[in-house]
Amino acid sequence: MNKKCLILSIVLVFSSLQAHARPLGKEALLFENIPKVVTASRQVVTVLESPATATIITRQDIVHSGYNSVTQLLRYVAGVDFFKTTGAGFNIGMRGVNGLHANNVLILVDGRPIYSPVRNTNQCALIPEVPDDIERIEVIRGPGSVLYGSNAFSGVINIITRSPEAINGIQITGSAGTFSDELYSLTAGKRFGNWSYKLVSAWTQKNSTADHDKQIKGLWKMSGELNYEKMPGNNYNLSFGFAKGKLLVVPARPVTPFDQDGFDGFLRSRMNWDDLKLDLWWRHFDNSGDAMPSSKLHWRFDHIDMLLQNQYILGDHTVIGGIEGRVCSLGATTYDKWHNQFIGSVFGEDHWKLTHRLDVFTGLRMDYQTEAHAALSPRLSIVYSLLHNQSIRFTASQAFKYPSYLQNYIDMNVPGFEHQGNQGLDPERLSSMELAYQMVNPSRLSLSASIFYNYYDNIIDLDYTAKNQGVYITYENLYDIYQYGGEIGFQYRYSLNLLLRGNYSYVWKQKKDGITFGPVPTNQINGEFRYDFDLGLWVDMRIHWQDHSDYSIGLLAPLSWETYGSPGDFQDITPLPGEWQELSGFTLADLSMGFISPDRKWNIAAAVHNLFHSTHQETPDGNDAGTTFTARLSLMF
Amino acid sequence: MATLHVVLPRPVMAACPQDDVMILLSSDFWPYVTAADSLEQELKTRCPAIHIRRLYLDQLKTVTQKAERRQTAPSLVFPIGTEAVVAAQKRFPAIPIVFSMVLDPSPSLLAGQNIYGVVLDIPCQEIWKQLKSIAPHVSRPGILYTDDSWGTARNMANILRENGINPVLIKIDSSEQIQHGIEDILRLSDALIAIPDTNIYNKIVAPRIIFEAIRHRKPFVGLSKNFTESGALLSVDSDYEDIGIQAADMGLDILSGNVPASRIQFPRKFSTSLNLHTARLIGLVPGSETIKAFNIVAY
Repeated sequence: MNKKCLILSIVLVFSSLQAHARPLGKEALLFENIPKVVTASRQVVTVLESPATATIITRQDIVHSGYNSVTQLLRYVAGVDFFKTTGAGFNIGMRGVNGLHANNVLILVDGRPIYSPVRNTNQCALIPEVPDDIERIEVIRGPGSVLYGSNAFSGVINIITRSPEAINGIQITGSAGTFSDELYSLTAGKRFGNWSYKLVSAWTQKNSTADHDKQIKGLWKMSGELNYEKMPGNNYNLSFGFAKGKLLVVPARPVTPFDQDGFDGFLRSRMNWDDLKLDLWWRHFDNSGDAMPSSKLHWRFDHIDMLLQNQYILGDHTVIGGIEGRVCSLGATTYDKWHNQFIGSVFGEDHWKLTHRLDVFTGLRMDYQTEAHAALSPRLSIVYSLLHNQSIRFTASQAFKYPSYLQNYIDMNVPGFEHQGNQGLDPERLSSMELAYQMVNPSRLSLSASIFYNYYDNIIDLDYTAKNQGVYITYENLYDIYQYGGEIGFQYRYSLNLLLRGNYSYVWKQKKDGITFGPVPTNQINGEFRYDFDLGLWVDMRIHWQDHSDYSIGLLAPLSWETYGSPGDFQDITPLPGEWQELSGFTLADLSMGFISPDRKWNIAAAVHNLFHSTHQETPDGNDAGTTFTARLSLMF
Repeated sequence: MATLHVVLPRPVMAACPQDDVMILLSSDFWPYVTAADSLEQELKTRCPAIHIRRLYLDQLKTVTQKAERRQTAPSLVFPIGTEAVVAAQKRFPAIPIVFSMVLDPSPSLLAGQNIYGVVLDIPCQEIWKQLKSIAPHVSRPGILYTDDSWGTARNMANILRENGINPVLIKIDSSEQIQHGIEDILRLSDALIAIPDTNIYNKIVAPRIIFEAIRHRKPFVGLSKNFTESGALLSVDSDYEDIGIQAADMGLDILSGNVPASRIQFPRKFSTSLNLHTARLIGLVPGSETIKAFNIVAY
């Protein structure tokens, strides 16, 4: 064997490393999965073949982070725009498009979209932010509408929960930190022959106020599943989940966080017969609150979703095809409007292995919505393998986002302030091109680089005019903008114990006055240093830097609800142009450390966020982000 | 699942050893833990008086130093995984070692007279039997090997020849030859059987082999279910739980003063996974009775 073969074998041994695992012998050949990713194509493909840029946050990353909220890990992913809106609230965008309502990214939990059709915002309360229940998070940058439809605009985040077999017992976790950050959870899962079950129950409270003084009431989350596997690939799964308590209805906004008492739950049935999948779920959302200055809000929606998907293999082609449907009833008593909505979709994507080096993905999806009518989402992706572990890819695609219920139907009239929906809105569209390179060798050195060009058209925004000494606001398809940027990243395992990661993201965005976009920095750098000691101790340091961010919040920029006082104060408001504002750049560091007992029956972890107490603002309303501390103890039975 | 050997629960032993034994795991990787759990359970069931210490490799240094001071070295060690076997050989050269969960152990690993164990390797006859059941037309299986796996390839070829089968063997000398080697073996043989070789069947090269095998419409027998899930036609896996029990059997025999029939044993229970997609792609139409005997993989 020459040196290359020798290196290859060394690489394999290194690649078998786990958090505290010693290198394996040849048996690693039997145990190790070949890395795969599912979200980018709904097919099981290797990361190198993926038609979109994918980053995977592993369970090991989650455990090492020590965070109560795993979503904080998203901050350190290349191309992700993350900012904390309050002590607990956060906002996620990708590649320079970060609306103040977190509505440009599709977040899935085990493939189930969790966004609210009321505002198109992602319903963050139902994200299973119980670290014990998350297996991995797949972050797909770039449009994903070809497979996931509306809202898969600038990216898709799929949170994949743990299987009963992976839990295999009972895990109890207690975690507490500064600013009333508490989480207590019980996770149980087991397999008995063909049957398996999982139950997750958690109580959490978080400081969700901007001034860090108050705390919201506790939020109770519960989820579970029962699975019957007739034979491998042929199984039935029934699952449920709900969050009850204070829901963070609007994850981010320029004014006081919008917490309301509420319930958000789902019941889901999944059936797999070899290639055929049938997924049905019902979601019920109901909440009320008093955040509005003039009256209480009561939002409610129910929707039933159905996905039928099949996979066909025809020679060198693997074709995924399916239909999706959603029947939705939604309304808000404040606006005195209740509506039924229907969305129907047909999608298909062909994965053609032209040669052993060349993969071509060709996909098309067609959606129809009762208000905004038809939308097409094509994608073409060509992946060429340069070497065994390297690939280069070109992707051209289109994505869309339907108007939200409020954009269509909001109807609010208070003295001096008239707010009307527009049922004639067209879907927002994104046309994107991307060139990417990847080298995947998780055991030693992995590299990724991508450049992209995005063109957004039909962007929906507030259109305001002066009317009767007040303001008349409605929504219109107002703008087109374009942007370009790129990301580079690496992961380097220096030794059995030491892991280094880093990435840099750049995005340039054309400015348009009045656009409701959140702050997005032009440059971001992330770094991570992780050291695993032999005796079960680990230390993990993450560093984040971003430069200044421009943002515009249009009409309401200089206002907050508190300043309104009484409805009569609206008479003093005159229409304002959208002003571009700026948040300063900042650097912050997170440090976590932990210890897992030799018998693996318990572990402790502690995390300090903003270790050096960098005084900075992440939110448009200008509150300083402080240092927080969290400690966690987990027991396994 | 194709179960080849059923092991009935053992009764509590009449003359039960009360020794100290140590279970030493290479890591907390789940297959190791599965084997260790069943091993420990079997020991406790059959010999409630036996004293079991369970350690991970990380802890070995600390624990053995303390044990040496107190002179309480175990009577027998059950290392699980290659790394644990290597460490156990160094630490306990004079006491019996019964290993398990080791694939294709090197001759140096088996050299000591105190070494017993259960390997993870699947007997060649079993692989051949399963392959023939799904692809009866196969008569010239191919084997790719490098210097590292020459011994394994030669043994497999000899066994096949003894059964009247004439295999095709191709050696790969460098990484540049891998692609040519794959294409040659698929052209010259009518099936490809994987052997444990980290130069060839690793996570980087294996997907290429799987793809080429499908493209050439040739059955490929992978090393484990993971291969089948990635597109290999089939694989034969041992039962990790039963391997733990088998190791416990050997250990208790040794502690009772008996000599096991064979120092190194193959697993007793197997399951075979079949990728139906791949079967269809390469033109095989397994009957329903055949399918029932396999774990079906739907990737």
